[in-house]
Amino acid sequence: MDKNFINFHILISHSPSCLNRDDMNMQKSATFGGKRRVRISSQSLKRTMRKSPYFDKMLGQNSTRTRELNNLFSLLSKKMGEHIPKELIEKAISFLADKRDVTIDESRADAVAPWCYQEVEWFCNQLQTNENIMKLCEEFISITGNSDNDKKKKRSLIKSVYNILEKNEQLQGLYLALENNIDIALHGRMAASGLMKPLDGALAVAHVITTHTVDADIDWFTAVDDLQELGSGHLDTQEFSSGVFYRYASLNISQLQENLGNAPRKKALEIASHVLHLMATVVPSAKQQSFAAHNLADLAMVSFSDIPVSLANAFEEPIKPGPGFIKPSVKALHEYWQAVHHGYGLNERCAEFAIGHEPPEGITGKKTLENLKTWVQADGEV
Amino acid sequence: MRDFLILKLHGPMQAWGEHTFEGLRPSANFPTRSGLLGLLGACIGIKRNDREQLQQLADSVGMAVRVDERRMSRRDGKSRTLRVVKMTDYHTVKDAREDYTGLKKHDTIQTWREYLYDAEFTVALWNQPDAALSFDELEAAIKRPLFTPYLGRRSCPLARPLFEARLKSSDVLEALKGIAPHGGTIYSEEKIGDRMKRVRNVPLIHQPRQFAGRNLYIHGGEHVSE
Repeated sequence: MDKNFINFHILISHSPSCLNRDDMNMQKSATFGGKRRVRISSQSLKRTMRKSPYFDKMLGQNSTRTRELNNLFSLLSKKMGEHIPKELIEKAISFLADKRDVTIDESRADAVAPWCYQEVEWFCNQLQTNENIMKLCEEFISITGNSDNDKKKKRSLIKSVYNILEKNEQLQGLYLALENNIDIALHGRMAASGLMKPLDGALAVAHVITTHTVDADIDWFTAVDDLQELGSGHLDTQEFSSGVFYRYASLNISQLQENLGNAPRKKALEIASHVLHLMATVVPSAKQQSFAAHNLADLAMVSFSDIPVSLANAFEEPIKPGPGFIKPSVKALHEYWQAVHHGYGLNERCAEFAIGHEPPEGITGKKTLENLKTWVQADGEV
Repeated sequence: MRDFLILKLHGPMQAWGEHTFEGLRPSANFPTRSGLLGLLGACIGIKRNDREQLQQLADSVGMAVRVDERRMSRRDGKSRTLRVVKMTDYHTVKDAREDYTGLKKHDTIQTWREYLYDAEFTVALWNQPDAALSFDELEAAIKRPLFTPYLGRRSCPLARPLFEARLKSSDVLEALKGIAPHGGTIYSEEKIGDRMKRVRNVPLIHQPRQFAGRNLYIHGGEHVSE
């Protein structure tokens, strides 16, 4: 068995900004090493990655995360309405989401779920080609009540559909439909309803924290009203700060292969190289119209490892400036990596791309982010 | 002499879920039995729906947790004690279940999730009589996990490998004595003292999301009852 985990360690410096806020409009924060740090939640970073144009271009289809079934119905009708009748799409969504009328404005599923349109398309095909499934589906939709008995009936109908699919060796098709949806393979899906397959995400993303303590500033601002001669139309405050952030994520290669229907390792490594690109380049969009902290990573380190281990402890003692925060942060990360690598006998394959820094012994230096991506694709062997 | 497997749980953030619906998500002050079984199960690669293997794992291990007293050494040579801090993260979720308002709630709700910061735990595991799962298998899995191990929540990664030691000792207190840092409160399933705490976090594998109670015996440190 080869190394199962790819660990991504990123240092990224943001100019003044407020990339992730709490209910008090203050920056999310953390205590680490007994000192306050600014934090960006993993949820925020993951969504930024998923929604980036790069993801769209290189990793393809994003899932649509929604519970707004009416909007989902319109979207899917546009996508596949040319070759599949709309009534079928409507029936498929109804069955999969367990909601009767998906065409009305306020039709909502019980929970936000990632929808993959190939899955719905596949189910439409089943409805078209198998009368029994169609009958069961219609029976399912016709149940209007919500009593225990109704629920029991619905469960047994779902089971019957399962059985038919299994008998005709069609069940695999449902899972095959998911294979093109890298988004769901990476980030996972909870069991949403009977036929939808739950998946454990292959990528674990940590909360992002600054390598140093942060005394945030409060910006007092006014919004000028052009049609008002004096004064302002609005005044408020906004917390912000700058800082060097440590991002960490680990990718479970075999889990990703499994989620993609036992894809070859090569495929998983290609996806990993794109995850690296996203980790090193995307920035949450919050308040970016006012701050424009569109920064790229100063350092991206990648390791192939037997166990996912974060290097956050390099910054447990907060970095002190001198000069700036990036230089001492990189130094601390390098020293800590060497100590951990040696101390625990980690035996990782490790390489990095860093702007203006030489890697320590044991880490292969790469001149560009592209070079590092190529190295990831080659299983870290070149 | 008995065999003990010693694990370290250390990372910037940890969260060990207590009883709740999705609105408030409190964390226990130290890892729960259900949480640790989940962690070990992930290392071994047990699927969520494989109840037989989950039960086998649950029946195989007894455990004690020590809340470590951490001294942080600084680059200037001095050191200071770190306190565990519990902080609440604000988060919005659509269509979660909320406390006391029934099983389904269809609005966007706000959730407050607790995290432990600056926490470190030492866990001692021992084999139950007739354990189906051997320590050799467990040790190998902890060193090369199959699923991604994490500290209670997916977004709380390990900051060092889980494995600390495999040793022989007369009892759990002796076993933990040899593992730095020294001191800290120990919560053990095996009787190690007269002080006791009742917790309810033993997963009933055949009844998902249901938990049985257990007694934890407390040794040393400064246990503060909640």
